[in-house]
Amino acid sequence: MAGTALEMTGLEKRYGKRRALAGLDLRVGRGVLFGLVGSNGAGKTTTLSIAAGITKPNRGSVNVLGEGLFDAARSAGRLSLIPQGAALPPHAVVRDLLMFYARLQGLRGSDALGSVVEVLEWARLSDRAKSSVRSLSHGMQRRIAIAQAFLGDPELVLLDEPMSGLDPREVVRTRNMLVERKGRQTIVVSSHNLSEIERMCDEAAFIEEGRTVRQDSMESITGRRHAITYLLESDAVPLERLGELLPDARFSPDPPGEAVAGCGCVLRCEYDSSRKTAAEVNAVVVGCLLESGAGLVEVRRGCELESAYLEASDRPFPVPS
Amino acid sequence: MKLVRDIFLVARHELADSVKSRRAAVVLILYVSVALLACNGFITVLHRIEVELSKTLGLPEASEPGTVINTLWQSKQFRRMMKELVGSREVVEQLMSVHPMALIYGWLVFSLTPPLVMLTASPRISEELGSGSIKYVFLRTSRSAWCVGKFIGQGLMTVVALTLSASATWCLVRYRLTGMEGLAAAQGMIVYSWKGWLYSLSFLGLALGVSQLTRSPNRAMAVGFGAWMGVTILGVMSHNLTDGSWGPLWQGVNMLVPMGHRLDLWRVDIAHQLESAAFLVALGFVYMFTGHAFLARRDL
Repeated sequence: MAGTALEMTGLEKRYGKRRALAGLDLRVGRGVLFGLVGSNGAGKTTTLSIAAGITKPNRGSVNVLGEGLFDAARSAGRLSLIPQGAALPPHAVVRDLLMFYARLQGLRGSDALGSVVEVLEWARLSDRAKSSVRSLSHGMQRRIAIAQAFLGDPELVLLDEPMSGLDPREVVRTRNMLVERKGRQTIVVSSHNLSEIERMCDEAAFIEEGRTVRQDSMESITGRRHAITYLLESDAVPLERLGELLPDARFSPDPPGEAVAGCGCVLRCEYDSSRKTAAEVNAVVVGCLLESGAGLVEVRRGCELESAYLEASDRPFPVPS
Repeated sequence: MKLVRDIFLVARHELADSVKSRRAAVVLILYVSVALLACNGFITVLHRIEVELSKTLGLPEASEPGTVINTLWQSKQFRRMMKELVGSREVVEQLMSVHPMALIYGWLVFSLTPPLVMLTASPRISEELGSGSIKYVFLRTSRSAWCVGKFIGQGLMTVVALTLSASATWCLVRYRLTGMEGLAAAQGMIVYSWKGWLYSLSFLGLALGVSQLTRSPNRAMAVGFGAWMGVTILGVMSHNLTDGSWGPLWQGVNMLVPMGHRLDLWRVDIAHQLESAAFLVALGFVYMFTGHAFLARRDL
């Protein structure tokens, strides 16, 4: 799958006096599982609503699946969305409702039925097909909302906080379900749960105050290919010795944040991945740290998405030229 | 082609959803009970008139209502009353061939269906806007197809409700007016229930137009009733103020309100009825798409 599924440039959106988007740029390639990260009110839901064509931008360009702004009359079935805070009709019977949605997006007869049966099995709700929506638990309703988004295998699926309201077991299942679909569809997930985004997404964008602060592949953002993080008990790090052993690598010791309580230091090692593998770097660094008695507690490949996000979102916003 | 298919799908879903949510049952009960209560009240009043008439003329008192209804039907006073109800002597003369109870039923339908339509239809779109469930649909079809589908679905529900109310009312009338010509009354009542349905389509458009302006079902219902009253007042004014320098203006207003086309529905000739039906359906769509102009542009 080559090309761009979703492209937004200089997007602006105002709700009265409040500015929800202030020149947002975003590019999502086809077949990618893409994460959208940002604090409350950063503009994630507005971004997805504009992509889905249910909200109109004030300024900027939008290109959805190469056809400009999404138009349901023209491109029904090519894009789907789990809208945030939108209830399913409570009296509707699950299967009838999904059949209605499937037919509206252009599927006919047996194709529609086949797609409904498939997504119900996928969401493990086949046994509740004849139940009314209101008789289902909140988590089940959420799964129905996720299932409807995959009816007819749309090319672009937008999921706004899909995991909210799901129990931990269902979160894992849903994550696995989404990962299974990698490459088959382009999926954009907005979430506050950074560990979920980190585990399943290929790319991510950080949005703050209506702008894209950073967009990159997950490996680049977290530094999985070129960085290793060591959590140490002591802050006495043998930096000189490490520099002698690995002259091409860069070591930066930082005081631990609140998230790594019980540690004295977080040592970050950035290396040239074209010259050395992570295993080779670890063989040297771990040996040196154990010898020095710095108290090695944990080794992590790269850094957590959370750290990268906090670092990126704390940066001052670039001044528009 | 997709537009037509989507309209059909939405209309069918609207009907099915009304049945499952028991909204259809509520609408049917409402229409039937209002028609029964109003008709029963009318028959009771009719019986009192008959008793008073018998006393005045020194005749034996009628034991059952409807005994002298045929005499009453031919009387000048009754025709004068009908003229007041219908609004035209010419039309009253045409209506002499119609069964009197069918006419009374017709008058009830024309009077009571508009507020019932406003009551049941005006929250329909706003409640889906409020819950957000509309977002699942607007990714799959155009907003205008969805609105037209809603209109057709609601319209079909109304015609079923009116046909059932005509049947129930006929049973009541048959029970209370034992001397009534059953077949003629049944035909007349069914015909007027369908004419009432045509008349209600303009109000259905008004209700769905209002419903697109707000996310609150209660506010939609309140605004809907306000709109119904406004249109009714305009209709009365435009009917009575056709003389004078403002006459042409009021005649124009008369064309834009449902009451301006109601008189033609009373007539028995097809040409007037078709013209009136076309105007009323067109008015319904004009009202609905006036509200839709707002929904089509709004963010969800």
